[in-house]
Amino acid sequence: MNNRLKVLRAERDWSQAELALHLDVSRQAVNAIETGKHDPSLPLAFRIARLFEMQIEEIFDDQK
Amino acid sequence: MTKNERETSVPMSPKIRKARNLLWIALAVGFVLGIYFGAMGDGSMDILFSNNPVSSAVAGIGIVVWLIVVPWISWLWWQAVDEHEAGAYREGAMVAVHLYIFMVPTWWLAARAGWVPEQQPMIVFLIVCVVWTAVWFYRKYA
Repeated sequence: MNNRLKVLRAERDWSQAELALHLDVSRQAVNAIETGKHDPSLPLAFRIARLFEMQIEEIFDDQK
Repeated sequence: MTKNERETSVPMSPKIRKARNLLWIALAVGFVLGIYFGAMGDGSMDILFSNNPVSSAVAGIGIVVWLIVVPWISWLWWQAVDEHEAGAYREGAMVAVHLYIFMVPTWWLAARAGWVPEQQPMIVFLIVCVVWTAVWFYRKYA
């Protein structure tokens, strides 16, 4: 699944470790989501959406 | 401070740190148990893979650690680990179980035919654990 997590993180000038701290996951988890190796669960997707104050579908795209 | 510098200086969340520390504790328990078996055994290096008799004290301590301490650490780890690592761990388990299912009967039949030595449960255990851990770490870090 495609996502805009890396772009959104860069806009805030956060490192992967900083984003991981906000989301209460490991840095490896953030990296895996950004590179499309791990699709987050629905609860984690909601946490990400709330953190960036966006809708889930504005961050994640299942069309490709 | 650059982003790369912050990458290493930012603290982990308490939950993730707890999961990491529990892994280190599990590793330390295994190390201490190995040292204990080595010290209490017959002096040979293959104490974990030997079928020679051991004293009741050695067996009792090993069983208590393996059936109570390790599962307790494992349960705590499952409460703290994030979903990505949990997924990597499950994937390692799936591969390891499939390896076990295919390896054990094959070895058993081959041994009965006299092609290979008799099956050693602890060798099977070690192979399953190594494959499980390799897949788990690969899926976590690669």
